[in-house]
Amino acid sequence: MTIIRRTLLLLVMAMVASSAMAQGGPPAAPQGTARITGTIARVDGRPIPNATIRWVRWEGGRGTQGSGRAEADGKFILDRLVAGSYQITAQSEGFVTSDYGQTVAGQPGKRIDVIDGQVFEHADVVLQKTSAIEGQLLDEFGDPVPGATVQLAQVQFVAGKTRLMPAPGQAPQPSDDRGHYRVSGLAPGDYYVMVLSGAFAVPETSAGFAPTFYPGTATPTDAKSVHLVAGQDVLDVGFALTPATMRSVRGVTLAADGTPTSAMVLLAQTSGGDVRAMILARGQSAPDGSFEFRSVPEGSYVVQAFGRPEGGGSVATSPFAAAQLTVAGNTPEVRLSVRPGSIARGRFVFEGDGSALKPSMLLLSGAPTEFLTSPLIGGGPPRNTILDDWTFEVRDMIGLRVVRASIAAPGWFVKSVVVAGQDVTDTGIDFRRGDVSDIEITLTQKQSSITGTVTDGDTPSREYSVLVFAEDAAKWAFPSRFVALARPAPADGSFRAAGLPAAAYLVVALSLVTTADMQDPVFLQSMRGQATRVVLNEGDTKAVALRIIKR
Amino acid sequence: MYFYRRFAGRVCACGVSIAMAVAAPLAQVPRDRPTPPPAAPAGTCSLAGRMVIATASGVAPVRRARVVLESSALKQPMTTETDSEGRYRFSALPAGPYRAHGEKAGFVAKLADPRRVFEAPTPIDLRAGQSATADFVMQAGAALEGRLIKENGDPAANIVVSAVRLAYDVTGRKPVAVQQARTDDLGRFRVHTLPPGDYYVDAAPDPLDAARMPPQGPRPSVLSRTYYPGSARFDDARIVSVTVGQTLSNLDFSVSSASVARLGARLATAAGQPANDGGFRVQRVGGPTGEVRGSASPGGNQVSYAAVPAGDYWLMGVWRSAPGADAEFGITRITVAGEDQLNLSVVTAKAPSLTGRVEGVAIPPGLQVVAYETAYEWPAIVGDQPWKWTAPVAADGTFTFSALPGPRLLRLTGVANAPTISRIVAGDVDVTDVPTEIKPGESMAVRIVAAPNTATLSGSVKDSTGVGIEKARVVVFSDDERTWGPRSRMVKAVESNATGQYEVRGLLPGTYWVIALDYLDENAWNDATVLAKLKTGAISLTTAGGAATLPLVVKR
Repeated sequence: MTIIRRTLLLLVMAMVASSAMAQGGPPAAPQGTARITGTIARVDGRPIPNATIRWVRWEGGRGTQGSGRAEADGKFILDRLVAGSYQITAQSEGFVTSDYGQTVAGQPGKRIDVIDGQVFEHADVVLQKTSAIEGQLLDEFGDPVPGATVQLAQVQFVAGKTRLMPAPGQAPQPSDDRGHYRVSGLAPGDYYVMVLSGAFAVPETSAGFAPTFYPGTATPTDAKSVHLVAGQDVLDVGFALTPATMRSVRGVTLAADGTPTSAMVLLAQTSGGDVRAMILARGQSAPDGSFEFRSVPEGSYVVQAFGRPEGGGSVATSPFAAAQLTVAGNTPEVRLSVRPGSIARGRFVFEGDGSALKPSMLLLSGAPTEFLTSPLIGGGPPRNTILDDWTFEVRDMIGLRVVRASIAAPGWFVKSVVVAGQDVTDTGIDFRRGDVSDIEITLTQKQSSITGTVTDGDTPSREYSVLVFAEDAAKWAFPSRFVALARPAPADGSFRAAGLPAAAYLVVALSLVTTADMQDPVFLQSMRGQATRVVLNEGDTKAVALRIIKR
Repeated sequence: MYFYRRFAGRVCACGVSIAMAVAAPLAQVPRDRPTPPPAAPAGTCSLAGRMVIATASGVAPVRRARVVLESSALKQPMTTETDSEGRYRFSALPAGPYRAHGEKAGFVAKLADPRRVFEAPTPIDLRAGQSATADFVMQAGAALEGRLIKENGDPAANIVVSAVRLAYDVTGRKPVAVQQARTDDLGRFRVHTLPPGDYYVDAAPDPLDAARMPPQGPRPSVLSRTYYPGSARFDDARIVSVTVGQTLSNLDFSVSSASVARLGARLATAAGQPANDGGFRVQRVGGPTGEVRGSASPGGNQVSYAAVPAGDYWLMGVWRSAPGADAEFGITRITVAGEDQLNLSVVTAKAPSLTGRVEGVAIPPGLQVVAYETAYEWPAIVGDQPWKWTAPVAADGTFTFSALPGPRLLRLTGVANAPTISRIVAGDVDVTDVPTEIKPGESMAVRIVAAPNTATLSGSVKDSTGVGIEKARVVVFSDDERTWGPRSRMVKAVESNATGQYEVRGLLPGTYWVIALDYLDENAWNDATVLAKLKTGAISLTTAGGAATLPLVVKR
């Protein structure tokens, strides 16, 4: 599950400089002459002692990171900094981690630009107390349910749909002997409360219930969220769990030649024809291929098997099998024959002069658009072979995939992905029946862009987000090339949304747009009326002047 | 309820740190669980019953409770859950001895003799084709609630609070956690599902937390083990007593902190090469394993311990060059007093070996020699199972330990009524009851001489009215106090059977005290102070072998 979240982050990262990017890489030793100082305090002004201060110095899309620590009086000094543009993040237990200049939880704050010898004072950060959700879980008789696992989830657009994904950084909490639970350390936001038991709980605890969502439904799409305001606990999120008849799911994992093999096996509930809540039971089949999930509530499921990865240990290269399954009385044994993924074969063609590009600058990947036949977990790119004649072979393609290319050369974009004359750039390629050849990926430098400036009232603004989205709602499914986010350039405050496919777009400026907003069709729909329409033909660059609108 | 076993897992959670402890802090708790093939018992027996709780108006079912069934006839324990009437059923069981217990948070077993709540349940023998019934009567568990604060008044979050009782193990009396809970972000705790009785309350951080999130700063400190109402010494801990179903609130106390040091160590071979992928452990001298956790670099030979309180410690390392190769062992004793020690090293050496022969007895199939660790416990190599320090005894009586580092006490095991050891000699040195350490790389040969002539004592245990007493504890112990203590060959304890009969085998010649008690804590006979008290009221008996009968009247 963690791996899926990373995949998602990778997709999001290209558009937004998120503080999550700063996690990788060793800390760099500061060696400059600039200095940033400030104070970490509570909302009421009292200092917070010993907070951890992390900094990231951004250069282009890359970050160099380091950290420091505030003193007992809340004051911190980051010195010997190299000149540059800094993102400052303060972290302390019991408080919501926040950036300097941050206005919306979870989104990056304001950067601080320092030159050699400069001292930037008052990089002050106010931290909100974290919140908690508490409640009591009951069974159908009104008795408390002890030992159930409470997991918080949030809605995200993953693989083309909104799905309930486990909230990041939240360890599952067990209910106590009175059925009482408390999940703390939460940032403000909307949370779904999921209660897991049986095969879906770790450790496997009380069984007899379907995974149940607040306010007491087993259907993920009927779940209601709990809204948390900064620093405020919500204490009455109690509900009755949905009883279910429990069954065992047994099966065997086989290699492609029919011999038993050990594999990782995942079981996920399906609802309305796809996995709508990322609740996984995970196991490992024995050397004789046999596996069993006990305490599985009756219902519809997908079972997936991942054999030993073939390349580099990445799960993306595991031979794979998936099956749909209805769990009821006398559930038949599941046979999963893991097979290597299909191969995508084709060639790159260039609009314009591609002589500056080298095959090593390109990496192809396939984003799943559903989880019935595509793996629930990923991680690592598929195995690419791109030859000097610009033909390519990409292994490990499973299920329905939207092919994407990352290009380590500025100014180049994918114009189209065509299979046998049909444009599948945004609809995806079906790898369920085997290899797909004759894929033509056209790369272009003829980027279409929308540029512009933004005013707040009548004043030019340098604090805004611009949301660009296709007029045609059918093009919004994430990961969409037709939805983009732009922020002001540090130099002059203008924005530029580049690499857009030719289409009719709507453009709107707000004080802040989150990545969750970008993925939310309801939000995009609500912005239609206030947006400016811009039609981009191929290679167009159009400029607009926008005014920040209020939500 | 079968607390003893449940706790064994928790408190003894062995201290093989390591590589796992460095999991990414943001990672979810992995939903990983082995899914072994089903045990598939194919038998003709069944066990069924009902779990209920007494109420004012009769009994009510305990629903969705877990029933755990253990047996030597099963590869692994079986579990099932009670239905809406509190009923459960195990079928197709092979014949054999079974122990069943019920579990549901908030409920504890209601037993005729409440002192036995921590004992293993009475075995149920199932014969082929038999359908047996076992009902569980439960009562409400008690709970302890309170709030922990730090010295500065802030809540102490994520601290493990234990309800502790005193129990005996082979080395004597020590505190054992009965139930545990973590404090929430407000410092509040609720330790529940407790049988009525007397407890101590102990608060301490999880050693794994310090390994996952090392304390920061130049002179780091961590919250240290504190006993209610606020002492670092167990001797100053106050007993709290709870009755059936009682919730005792307001057990608020303050947890003090102690400065800790960082330790860093490298594991090297005798030849000076880095010993990669080995195992490490830091164990307080005289303390249990698991108090200090570290993190090792996977594939490397370095380990770091982020928060080690002051004290004397063993630092151990184990390594082998390849799977299947003989392991090398290294140990060094260190004193920690607040200062970081980041350049420690442990040098491994070829392990000593031990060969020997069991003499003076026909070797029963399955007989093993066990070499108990008496000072510290060696860590396992990463990815390996914990060490099992046993060696099979061949038909000619010979046995071999290819690697036996550290001080050891040898005993016979593996079969019911293993022969009693008369003496163990290495050359002309008697090592029977003295932990023996062989130097690295050296070898020792021992003779384990079985006693040719042991006595069997049997009889009945009755109460003062002449009625046979089941599950009475009969203790037979030497009148020579020097022979008392851990793994004594001259202290034996058995339980009387359903008709009150007892039998003690393998008594070495000598003079003994014999006593029957209606109840005695498991392993209490390993404690010399307990035996000294039992002398009062015991019967003296001298034996030179053979069989003797001694009727006993139970002491209460």
